[in-house]
Parts: sequence; C-alpha cells; structure tokens
Amino acid sequence: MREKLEQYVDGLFVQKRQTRQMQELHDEILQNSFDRYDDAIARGQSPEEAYRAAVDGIGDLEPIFGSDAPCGSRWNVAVAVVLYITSIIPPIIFGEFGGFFDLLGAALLFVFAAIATGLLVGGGRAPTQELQKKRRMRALAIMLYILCVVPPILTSDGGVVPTTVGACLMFLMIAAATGLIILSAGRGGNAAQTEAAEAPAAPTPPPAPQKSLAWRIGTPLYWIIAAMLFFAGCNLGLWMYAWIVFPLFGALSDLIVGCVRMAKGGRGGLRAATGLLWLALLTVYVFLNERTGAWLVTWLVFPIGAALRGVMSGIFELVKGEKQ
Amino acid sequence: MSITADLVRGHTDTIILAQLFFGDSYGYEINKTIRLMTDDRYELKEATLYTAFRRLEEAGLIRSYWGGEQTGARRRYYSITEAGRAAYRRQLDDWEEAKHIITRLIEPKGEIT
Repeated sequence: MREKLEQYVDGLFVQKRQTRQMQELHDEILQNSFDRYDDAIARGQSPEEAYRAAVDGIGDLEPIFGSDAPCGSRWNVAVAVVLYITSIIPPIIFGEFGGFFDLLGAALLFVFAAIATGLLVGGGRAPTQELQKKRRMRALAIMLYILCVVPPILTSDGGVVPTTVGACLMFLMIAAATGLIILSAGRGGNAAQTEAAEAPAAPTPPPAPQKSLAWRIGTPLYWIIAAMLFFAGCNLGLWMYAWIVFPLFGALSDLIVGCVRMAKGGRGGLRAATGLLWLALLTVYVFLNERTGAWLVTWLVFPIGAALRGVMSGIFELVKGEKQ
Repeated sequence: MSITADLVRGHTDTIILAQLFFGDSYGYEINKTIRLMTDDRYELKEATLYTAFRRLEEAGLIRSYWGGEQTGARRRYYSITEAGRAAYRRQLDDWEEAKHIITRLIEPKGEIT
C-alpha cells in the first residue's frame, strides 16, 4: 500500500508545472504522508486504513496549485482553438495554386484539426499515471481517425503515388486507431470509470459487465460485423462514409451498455447520453454532407461533439455532487 | 464543536510558531503534536499546513531547509526566525487578551437553568 500511496501523491502532481517549487511540495507531501502511514501502521491499523488515513490527511491542494498558473488544460485549449481557426488558411492559400497544392491545402486542414482535437482530448488531468496514459492513447486514436483521410486526399489525383496506396494507408491508420481505442478501454477508457477510480475506496462495485460471457462473445462479433459493413460500404463506392460504421457502433454500444447499467441500478447515465450524443452528431454530419457538400467544414461536428460531451460530463458531475 | 475547529484553523500560524519556538520541526511532526495535545480531537490537513508554512515563510517568520537524507527520508524542516519569535510573543498577548474579554462577556452573571 505504501507504493500505492506514492502513486497517489505522484498523480496529484501529474499535470502541474514541473517547477522546483512543485517538486519540493511533492516531496514534502510525500514524506509527510509516508510518516502518517507508518505511524498508523505502528498504532496497529491495517495497510488499507493507514492508506486511507494518509490520503484523507492531505486535504484540498487546489488553493496551493491555484496560485501557480495552471499548465496543461488552459494552454492546450488555447492552442487547439487557434489551430481550429487557422486550419482554414491552408486550403485558402494553396487553393490559389491549384493542382496538387489544392490537395495539400485540404490535407493540412485535417492535420491542424487532428492536432487541435488531440490537444483537447488528451490535455486534461487524470488522477493516476495509468489513466493519464490511457487518455493520451485515446487522444492519439482520435487524431488518427481524423488524419486517416489525408492519404486518400493526397493520392486522389493519381499522380506519382497511386490511389490504392492512399486507400491502404487510410485503412492502416483506422486499424491503428481502433487498436489504441481497444487498448485504452477497460478501467481507464471512460469518464464514468475515471470517477469510480477517484472515489474513496469504500465498496466500489466490481466492473462485472466487462468480464461477462456476453462481453467476450459480443465484442469480436461486434468488430466482425462492423468490419464487414465497412468493406461493403467501400465496395459500394461509399468509402467517404464507410468509416462511420466504427463510431456508429461505438455510439450504439455506449447507449446500450449505459441503459443496461442504469436498469441494473448502476451508473450508466453519462455513457448512454454519450451514445445518444454521438448518434445525433453522426446523423447531422451525414445529413450536412449530403445537403451542402461542404465536407471541408462538416467535420467540425466532431470537435464540437467532443466539447459537448465534456459539458455533459461536467453537468453529470454537478448533479451527482449535489445529490451527495 | 465547530466553533473550536474554526478557532484552531484561524490560529494555525500561531500554533505553528508555538511548536517551532523551542525547536525545529517538520510538517507531520507538528501535526502529530497537535493531535496528541488535543487528545486526538484535532488534526490539520496537510494542505492547511502548507499554506500556513508558505505564508509564514514569505512573511519572514520561519525558515525552511531540507534534511534527513542520511536516514533515507528527505524532509523539509522549519525553524523560527527572530521576527517569528517577536510575532509569536505579540500573538500570544493578543490571544490572552481575547480569551479574557470573551470569557468576561460570555460568562453568565447568575445561575443558568
């Protein structure tokens, strides 16, 4: 439990500015927490009780952190917003030159958008190193999803590099992104589960749904069906939309799992709402593309969706907090 | 009970100076002393202590140094300065006066039923 205590304290400083002052504060809190832990053990408490006592004894560090300018989040958001806004510039500038530069401009737009979204998704704070790593993996996966259209765009004029290479690269990126999502799923992949990890160690319900037989059969089946639909879509020439199968299935599964959990009396509200949100967004995206053909800007629904989800998560936390 | 807790928290600086007056100490040791002296009734959160330490250090009333590496535990020790001793004596006088006045004002003038 002593190592867990050290991990906990490390986690408190994970997204803070790495200044000497912060390092010293970390060391001081760590040593005092160790002293408190050792003292509790010496008085006959169990390791769990001693850990609890040490963690509870730390208190609210926000006022101390607040006096340092917050690093991570605010800076990330600022850069992301700048990137979103300036992402229109490459297509405009390069559009003047025509030919390959047209494609380059469009590709750069997606690159800017991918970086910006990555910063937004991956730039928050997580209570432990492990959750932080998972958050970063999901950010990388989303960036890959956004970037995967770049190879087809760049090879679409069939010049030096044949279009098939572009298509293959696209599939590779989608596969890598999906792999990252699967790896980062489990205890860290969901904001609701992140909150469960943060909550005090009072009886936390074990994540039963993830180990059940239904899950073990359902997940490979889900991916097989999704992959089949995807390739069917590609063969029908709908490759611009075929990839939607994956986020679509993700949204549906979130919705179903969320509702099942709520029915069992557990916490599934946020997950179900997230599923609904993404279903709505995907519908809006396809609809807008069909009606306006402005695919250069319709992708904006996705970062907007990510922001909306953040708002939803915040609202859920507020409501939960008031209930307590 | 909550009035007492507020009073303890409100006098954190003086309490720390009192602990350091007769010898150097560090965060947890000060906390432990408070716990023992109040029969396990009160303990300050680390966060409260740290804000107080920073405040006192910025005001020049205490000094800090790192020590204990030989025992393997890197601890931040605090010692009181001359300005700190003077401030402590002043705050002690203030407290005696406050205690005296409030007791006189609150104490019943006769039998309470």
